[in-house]
Amino acid sequence: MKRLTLAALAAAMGLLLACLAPVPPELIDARLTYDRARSSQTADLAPDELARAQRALRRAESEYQRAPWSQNARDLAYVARRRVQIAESRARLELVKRNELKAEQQLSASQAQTASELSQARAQLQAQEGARLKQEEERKRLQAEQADRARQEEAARIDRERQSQQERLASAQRQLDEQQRQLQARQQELEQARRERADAEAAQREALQQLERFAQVQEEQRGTVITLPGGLLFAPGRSDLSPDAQRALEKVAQALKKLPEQRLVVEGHTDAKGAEDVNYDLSVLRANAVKDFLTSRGVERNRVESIGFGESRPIASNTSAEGRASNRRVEIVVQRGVGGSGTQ
Amino acid sequence: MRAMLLAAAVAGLAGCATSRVPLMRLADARGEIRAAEQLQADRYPTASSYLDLARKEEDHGRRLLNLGQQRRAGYVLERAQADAELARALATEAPAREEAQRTLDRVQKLQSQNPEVSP
Repeated sequence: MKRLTLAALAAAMGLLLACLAPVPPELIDARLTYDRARSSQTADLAPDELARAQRALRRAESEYQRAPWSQNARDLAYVARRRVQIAESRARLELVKRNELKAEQQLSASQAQTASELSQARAQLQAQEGARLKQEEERKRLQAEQADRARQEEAARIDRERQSQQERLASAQRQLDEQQRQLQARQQELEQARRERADAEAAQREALQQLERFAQVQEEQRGTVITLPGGLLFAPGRSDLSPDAQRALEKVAQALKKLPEQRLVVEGHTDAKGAEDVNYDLSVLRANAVKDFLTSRGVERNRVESIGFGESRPIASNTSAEGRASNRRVEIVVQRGVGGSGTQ
Repeated sequence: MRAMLLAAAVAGLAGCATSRVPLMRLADARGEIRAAEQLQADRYPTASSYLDLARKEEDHGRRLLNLGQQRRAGYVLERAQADAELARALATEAPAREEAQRTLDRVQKLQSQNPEVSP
């Protein structure tokens, strides 16, 4: 009974000492630290470490309850506080890892987006380059077509010009041929005229040669002058032709018919014997008589002209009989040129 | 007589077990300190201070073991192990935080170069 009393007394003393013992600051810090960690993200991010800290804290609390004054309780509280700090460090590490993972995901997403945008930009650039190349090809094709059209137009223009030149050349050739033909015809005409003229001249020479047998024929400026002596043609003071005169004039007419293109002027001349007006009239009558005879023998009247000069144009002196005989004459002037120039 | 021998054997085994716990604490503390050192906890100021505490506590625990204060040495070595673990945790946290910051900087730089990229 006495032993039980002592035991109860000891237990009461121990409880009293426990109630009187102050809580060590290590345990207070451990509690506060644990409470702070439990209400923070540490509970979610590092639950295993926080549970380990909790066990360490319970161990410290138990030791404190068992031996409040012992250094061991303070050491265990110290360890519990370190466990809480370790849990907090693990939680921060986990948070850092999560943030890093999130950042890496963002980085990957950004890089992927950048790569996608780069790919799109490259595709767009490639498309633009393709469009530019296509546009360039189209421009070259249009230029080539334009050049082809220009060449074709130039070729057509050259063809037209060549055709026009050929036509002009053909026309010129035709004109040349025509001119050559005309020239040839003209040459033929000239040759024909030359031959005709030669023939006419030959005939004229022949006729004049025939006239020279009974008449004086000489070339003067006014033409070929055929002088018929007055004594051969007319009796003195008369203007009618004798039969000998007509035979002589017949030959003259034949000869003059061979000169159909030339005008003839029949001039009557007298000597100075007698009145001048009488001589003039006589010269006119005689010239007309010769003209009438010639036209009656086929010489065209429209190319024969008659004119009397009287005694105004003597060819010799009227003082001698021979001179007066020479002055009494009829001259037939065959004028030069076709149709005659008309000098009287 | 037989009962006395059995009690002595149990008491001896118990004594051996009691003496082995501080040695295990010492090995655990030593291992944690080595792990913290391998993580180069000395490079980070806060981690370095806890590592120093752990080393001092390990020395203290060794002295207590040499003095035969097994039980007290166990608690001191347990403190050393806790400080070493905290130093290791902080040494793990610091470079991870730096690496994460570099990653964030890269993201911000990329976003500033290309504002159209959504965060």
